Amino acid sequence: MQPSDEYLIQKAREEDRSTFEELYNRYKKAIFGYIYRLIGDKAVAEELTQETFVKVYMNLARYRPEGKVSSWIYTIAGNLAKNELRSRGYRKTVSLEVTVSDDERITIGDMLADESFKPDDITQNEELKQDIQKAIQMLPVKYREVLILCDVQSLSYDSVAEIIGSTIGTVASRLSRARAAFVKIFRENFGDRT
Amino acid sequence: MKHPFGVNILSQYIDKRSAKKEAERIETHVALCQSCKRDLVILENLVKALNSVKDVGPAPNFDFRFNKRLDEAIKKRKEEKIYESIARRALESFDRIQIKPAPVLLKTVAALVIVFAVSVACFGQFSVVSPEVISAEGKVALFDKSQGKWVDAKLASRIDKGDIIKTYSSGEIDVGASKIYAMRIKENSEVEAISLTRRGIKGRVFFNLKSGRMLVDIGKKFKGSEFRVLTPAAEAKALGTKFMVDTSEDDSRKTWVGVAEGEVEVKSTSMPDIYAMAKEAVIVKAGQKTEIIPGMPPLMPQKLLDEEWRKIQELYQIGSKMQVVLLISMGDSRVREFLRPCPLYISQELPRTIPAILEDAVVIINEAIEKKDKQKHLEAANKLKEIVEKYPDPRYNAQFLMFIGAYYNDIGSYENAIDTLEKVIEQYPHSSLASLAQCAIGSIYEEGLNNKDKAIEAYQKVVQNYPNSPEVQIAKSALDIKKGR
Repeated sequence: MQPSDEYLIQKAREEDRSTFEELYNRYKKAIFGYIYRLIGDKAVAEELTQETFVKVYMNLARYRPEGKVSSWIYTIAGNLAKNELRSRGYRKTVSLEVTVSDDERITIGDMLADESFKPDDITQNEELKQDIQKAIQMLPVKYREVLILCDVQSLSYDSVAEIIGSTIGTVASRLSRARAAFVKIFRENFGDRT
Repeated sequence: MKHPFGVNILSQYIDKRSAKKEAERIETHVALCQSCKRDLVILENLVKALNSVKDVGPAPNFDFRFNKRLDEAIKKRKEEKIYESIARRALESFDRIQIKPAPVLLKTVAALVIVFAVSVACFGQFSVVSPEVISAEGKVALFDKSQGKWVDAKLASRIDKGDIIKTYSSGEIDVGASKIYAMRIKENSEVEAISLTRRGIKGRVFFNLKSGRMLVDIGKKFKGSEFRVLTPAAEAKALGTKFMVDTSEDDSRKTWVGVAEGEVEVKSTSMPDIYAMAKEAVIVKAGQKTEIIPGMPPLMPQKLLDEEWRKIQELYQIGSKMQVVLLISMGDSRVREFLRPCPLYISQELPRTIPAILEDAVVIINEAIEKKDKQKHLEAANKLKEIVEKYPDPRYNAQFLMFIGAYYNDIGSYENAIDTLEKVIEQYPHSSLASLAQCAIGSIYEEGLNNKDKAIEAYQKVVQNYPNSPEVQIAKSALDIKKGR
């Protein structure tokens, strides 16, 4: 049986570097994926992923067992990524502000509306993957982080609420808005391919 | 038909977060309403689509770079802790002396004195001369004078005056004071710290190498300070340098000193009067060596032999040096030395930060050199090519290409050698290796391919493009010979 994250943290606090490496190996890919989807730049994502784990190691003593270890790591990563976006003045460069109301209808008959759609259609198509990444980048950051955590990383609402420091209700509502906004962006900007 | 369910409700439904009754209502409605059904399908497909892009990972050399970065952060924190502890001690002292009320003038003077003392103490820490253990392998013992007993040498243990480091048959230890100096004490050695004092901002560091071998690397921050290694026969005074001192295990008890960079002043510690006229001290320069037999004056410095040069190249592995290094001398044999493949060194300090494939490559390379096995050389070249392609890293790409070029030359694959070296010139034009690559191309054309015109062309490029490089003289000499001067 795999040791729990909490056990690894406890051991790593005793300056057991190999235990920390186990924790690092467990999460590095997910954290990289999260930051990359948020930022959209692999080199910066690598840099921030490294920074995340350096911070985790340096602050092992500050970890409080009330929350999940994974949420703690994701929170550090998210804060670093958002700081990076802020430092780039990212908000000013996002020209597409999507407003979505709960009763907005999704009407386009595109690829996503195709009942026979299979995820393989995307995994085997590099261009489509890039379009998805571009569409994610066009979302406001608060929608983007929830969409990535819930739908790309498949984390539970509880975990996402813990990571973003919010309630489950807020996660649910942001997620639905994010999904609707994403479909709208995808349709308007990449419609010819869908 | 009305559409009672917005995106929010449908979104929660696909995440199975709707109440049972609501879920039933949605299912009933969707079965009848094509529009809502399509919305639902879109949302479901969206989640599938997003989940399908989950698989994305960092570059293959990510772990290597991360471990290096974490090591640096840990090292930095250790240094900060030292400064914090000094500041804390100073503050505690300040609290203690504030027991009685004192006149304002006295308080002001006292505060100024304390501020000055704290500044000096902190400044002193930057020029600290007591080293700490950087890494230790095998059996290494440390005699702690303050405790009066032998203890195991542990990472970050501080060495103080009077402490003795003893290494056994498989033991080896690196000690150093951050960026000031670093030493490697080899197996079967005994070294005593006899002076670790500061003189103002300068240091006075003396070690007594009672037996065995040690390598010393003096950093730029040590400029103006005194660093000496004493042996039963000699005293080696460093003048900003990298050097090695070896005391012989045989009856002669002679001391050998070899210098890789800078200069070392070496003198005999016990010379009878009959040698009064002889030169007591000699200056050993980079690439030179001397020997001292007890009671005799030092020999005039001579050039290091190839094997000796290779031996002292280990200096570049001490402490937090680059992980992978191509080591060649700065002398006029530089190009010749390079084209006869050199061993590859990897710092032993943090072996886990090196990709496994690199460790394999090092084994093959060093085996190939030792056995002079051409097949192994080819294998080594291929392994390095694989590393450059799969784990590219600007810190070692140019060096590896150089190695590959040298191996190709060694096995007579001259065209491949030239192609590879040209890549160094094209891709890393500002690297210090570019001039070496250009000169080596000249040498390969000259000696390997017997193409005089191309050789002249390559040497001319060295003179034109790298006028301040160590290869200029080599290229000029070659051109003089070619032109029949």
